[in-house]
Amino acid sequence: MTALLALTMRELKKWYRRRIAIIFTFITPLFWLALFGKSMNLYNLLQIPSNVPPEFIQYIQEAIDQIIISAFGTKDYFTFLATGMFSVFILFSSMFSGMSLIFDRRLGYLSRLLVSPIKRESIFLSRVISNIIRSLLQFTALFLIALALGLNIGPQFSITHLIALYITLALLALAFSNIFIILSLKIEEHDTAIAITNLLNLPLMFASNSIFPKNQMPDWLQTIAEINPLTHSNIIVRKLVIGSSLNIPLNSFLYLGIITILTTILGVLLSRKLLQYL
Amino acid sequence: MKIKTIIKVDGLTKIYNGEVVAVDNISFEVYEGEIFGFLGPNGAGKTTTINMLNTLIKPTKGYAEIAGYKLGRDNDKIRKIIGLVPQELTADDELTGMENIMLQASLYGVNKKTAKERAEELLGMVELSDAAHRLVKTYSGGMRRRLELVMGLIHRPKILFLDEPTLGLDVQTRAKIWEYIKMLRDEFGVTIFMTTHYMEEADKLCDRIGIIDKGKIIALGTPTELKNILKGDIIVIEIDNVDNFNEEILTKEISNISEIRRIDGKISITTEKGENTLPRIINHLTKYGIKVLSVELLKPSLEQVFLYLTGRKIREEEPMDSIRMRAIMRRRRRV
Ligand SMILES: Nc1ncnc2c1ncn2[C@@H]1O[C@H](COP(=O)(O)OP(=O)(O)OP(=O)(O)O)[C@@H](O)[C@H]1O
Ligand SMILES: [Mg+2]
Repeated sequence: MTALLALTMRELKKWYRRRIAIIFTFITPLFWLALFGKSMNLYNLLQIPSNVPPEFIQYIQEAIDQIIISAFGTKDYFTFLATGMFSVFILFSSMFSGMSLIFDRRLGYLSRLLVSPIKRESIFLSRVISNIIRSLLQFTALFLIALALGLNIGPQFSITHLIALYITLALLALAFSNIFIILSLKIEEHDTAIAITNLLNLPLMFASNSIFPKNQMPDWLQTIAEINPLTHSNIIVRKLVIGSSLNIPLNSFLYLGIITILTTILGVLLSRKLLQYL
Repeated sequence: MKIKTIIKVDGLTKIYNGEVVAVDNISFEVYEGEIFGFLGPNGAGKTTTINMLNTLIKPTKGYAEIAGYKLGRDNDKIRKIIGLVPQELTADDELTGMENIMLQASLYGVNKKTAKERAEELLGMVELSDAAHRLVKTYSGGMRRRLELVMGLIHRPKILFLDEPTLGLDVQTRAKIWEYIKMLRDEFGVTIFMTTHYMEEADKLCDRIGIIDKGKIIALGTPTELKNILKGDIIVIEIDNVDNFNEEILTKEISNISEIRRIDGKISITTEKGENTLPRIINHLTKYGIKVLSVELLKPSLEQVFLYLTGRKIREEEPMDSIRMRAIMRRRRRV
């Protein structure tokens, strides 16, 4: 237990010391939110042409509002995107959680850990826990930035919603770091890990409801989106932040919970098996 | 005192990737409380052996028992009682020396207070106290090696594996570390299994030495026993034409020559009191019209033993630069 704590602190200390890298991790989300989120405001695209007879304007406007709200859950695309980005950036920061293990293998620190009597899973879990903490800190900054940029929070939002928001994103961070650290257990070159990461990151984001609602997607993509943890995290986050009902998030919550538990068990078992010898 | 075996190795073998035979069916025993050394050239299989015994590498074949625990089956128990100072520099260079040491201590469940006390003492011994709170990436190669040593000692293991513990260190530091290793054995009864390719280190520090070459143990014993293999001093003579040389005549005319061998076109003569025999041999050769090109008188040393057994010399120089190179490589990889 002390070993697990000490190893987690090691990860966080090293992260904290790479201040410049940390600053960069915030620049990317900022760009996404500010540029993408603000420029693609669909609501403004759907302006009613001026030659429409004035007696229809009200009806057309209501129709547009309904279409947009039923698709996005809000009239404001920025809010839709920002709430989707919270989970996407949990994915992005978790993708690199396996990297420290690969470097430890490469630089020989792993052999220090392997000859020591620590439980094999603490090598695994220390990276998972530190990644959750890191991800949630980054989310906090991102949330504040989004607020400053005009995130529309529903009137029902309370401290309970905020806590639920953190729990949801913690589950997502846990699931993703489990998956990416499991992939890194036996990888020796960081190039391999970067390649895997690049292969997975954008498809995972697009095959979800992060930047576009999933009911507009072709069937096969919808199927993928259904099993993508991002989709479920987004559903919950939007329900909590925006407040309009898009779906019943209980299913999504269960789904996230189950994925989290299964990947954690798998990670612990695999690290016990694969981290016996160098 | 009754001799007790603490490490027992039988037929241990490591074949990498099904083709490189790094350790070839070795068997030996290490006694409790002794300093046991593996002496051998680069690539002999020293690190591979140490890493099999400390549970890092899975043996291809063979049996080993450490403090009564069976290697492979009881690895968890073995890990609790051993310590390793690896050949590679593996401290985390993004942490300070002290942070590395304290982290290491927590891996072994040493409490903070004890760890702190030991750390101060050990850092003083290797003269790193002033640098303790600096990031390891600002350390020189020699400083990093000394830190590795401190980290390996912090939990006072029952059996300590030292893989080339003084590689690249200067003479004074090396002598200090030898002293400390002896102290560990004398005061705490730690059993030490070390590797080295420094003859002097093996000779001065080790109670018993296994000479290892190409994955095999070619001799094993106390330094004195090993030197006795030589049966005296060695005179190496280079002459203009080896074909004119006749062993029988030489042994007949000059007494106390115990062995004559031809190695690499040179003649190697084993004798007692080499300084007295040497002029007589030269006179003898001159008398028979053989021109002597060079002579060398070698006193018994482990180096001679290795030369005698393998016909090759162990290259001792591992200049500081190689450590620096490794440190640079590490840093580069990180980018
Ligand atoms: N992971 C590996 N894969 C393949 N071959 C290896 C591996 N590790 C070591 N070897 C080979 O096994 C042999 C023994 O290597 P080892 O590192 O045990 O030697 P050593 O005696 O420690 O040498 P040195 O004095 O250079 O440290 C060498 O031929 C080496 O090339
Ligand atoms: Mg070696």
